[in-house]
Amino acid sequence: MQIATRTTSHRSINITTKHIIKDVIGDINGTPDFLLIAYTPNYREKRQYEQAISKICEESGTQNVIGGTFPAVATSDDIPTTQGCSAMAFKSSELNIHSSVSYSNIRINPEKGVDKLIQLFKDDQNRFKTGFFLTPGPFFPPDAFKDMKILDSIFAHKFRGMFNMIGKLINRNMGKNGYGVTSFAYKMLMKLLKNNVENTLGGATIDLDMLSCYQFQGENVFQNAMVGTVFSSDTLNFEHNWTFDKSQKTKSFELSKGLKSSSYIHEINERPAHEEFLELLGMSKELYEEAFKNMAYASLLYLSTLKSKDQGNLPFVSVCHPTLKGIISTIPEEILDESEKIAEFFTQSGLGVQKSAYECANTAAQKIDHPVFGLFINCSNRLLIAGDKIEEENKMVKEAIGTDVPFMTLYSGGEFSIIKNKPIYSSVSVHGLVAGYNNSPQKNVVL
Amino acid sequence: MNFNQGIGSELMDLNHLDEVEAAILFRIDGDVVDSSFKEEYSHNLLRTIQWCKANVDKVSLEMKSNNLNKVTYELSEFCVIFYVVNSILILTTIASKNANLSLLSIESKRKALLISNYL
Repeated sequence: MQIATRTTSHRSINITTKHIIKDVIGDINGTPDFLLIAYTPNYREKRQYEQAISKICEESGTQNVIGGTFPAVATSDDIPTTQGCSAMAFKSSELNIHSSVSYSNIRINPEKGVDKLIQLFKDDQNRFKTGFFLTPGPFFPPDAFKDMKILDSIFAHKFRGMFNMIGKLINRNMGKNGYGVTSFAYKMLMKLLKNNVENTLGGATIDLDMLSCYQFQGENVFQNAMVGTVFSSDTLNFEHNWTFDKSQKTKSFELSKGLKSSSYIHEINERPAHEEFLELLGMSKELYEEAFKNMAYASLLYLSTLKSKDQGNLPFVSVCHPTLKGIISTIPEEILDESEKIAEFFTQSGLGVQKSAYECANTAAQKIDHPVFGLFINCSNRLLIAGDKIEEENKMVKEAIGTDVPFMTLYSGGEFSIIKNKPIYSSVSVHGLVAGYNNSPQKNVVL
Repeated sequence: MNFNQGIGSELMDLNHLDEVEAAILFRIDGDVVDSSFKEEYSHNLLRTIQWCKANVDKVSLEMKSNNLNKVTYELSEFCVIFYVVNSILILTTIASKNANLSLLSIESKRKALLISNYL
């Protein structure tokens, strides 16, 4: 099996692409079976990415390419960059990587899009298989919240329980304008699960400046698409894991009232959500504004988790905007429905982020005797916490899966997996896939 | 001159990021080894550069004595990140006050490492 990885950095996308072609495609003897390409979003224009991807397809001789834009990208053998490209090329007779698929309207019609991935699973007869897909990410134009203010009215609060229409309106509004990820990503996971998909790894592209994020498939560059493929093999096993920084738990709180169809929380601990949330953070309105105004109002250093019946504690992001009385969260409706609505509050730290990345990679790698490659979807919020220590996280992943095992990390705007028939939709977490050989076939049997 | 590689190119890369106003490689005595600016720059930026030039020796002494790799100053209009390249050079990145310092420090660190490889 041949796997080549590289991360390059340059202000010009053309130079970055040239280096990728020379170092990654040049390292593979012949035409690669599959290419995973991740650019940072700073090159901005769609045309620039189209030209770059087209060049990569032409030079590599393959159209089996997927990828997207992420605020930072990293591979096992290079320093992570926020201005460049990471690529991973595969050529193997043992690993089957299906021709990639795309669906350009995933925010509005996730079920239709995911059918394409399901078909790939159905067409595959290999013993071990797993999916890999990328979606558009959260997108908050500057006045996004002003549009929502009208929906955050007395009417919405008063008649919440009667027919929940306002929630649906907010939800539809967010979907149309492309603000959230939750509403479509969880539906995708559910449909995959219903169709007996046991394992898959997914992530959302994102631009932290909220200007543009793209997804690539073949020579196509999309803005609102799912792109994906299926990895399968008779000899190579795939192990998944996920985790988050749970080292500093502080307190619990109750999500008292909310519009479940939009994950819009009205009341926390039976007080207006906005006020109570800031109190939980121990922060004034002004300081919160100052600290997070450039980060789409994400609660960066703090995360809350909601205990789900099937999935345990799931971290979510809370968006607290001064024009709104409530808070917007990234809790899927179905989880809000089934949980006891008691959330736990965690403070994140750089060290905790590193440790959790190690735990994610190590737990997956322990079930594989000879890892051959890894793929990690790591939240971009965690990237901001780690800052220039992000390299340390990569070193720990390397230590966990093996110093000579190539891997790629994409810093995402949403992480989703199906792990052994369980859906995991979470934020501020790291999800990983480690592929490799096992000495004894018994290791693959779950009793 | 090949602008696609070398110290000048690394500084241009850094300067090409949206929020970065200037990237300067200082010697610890305040002499400028190389630099890259946005095409349009303000008087305030020039004042900040002057401030960097006047203080880089004190900053580097402080960094050396406390074994620091990075020091960040948040001034009224700009943020300044000083990153150690080697024992005699400091990479200085001047960015707008709203810059995302976490992301910027990742790239500053990367550039400091790449520049040290050229020396």
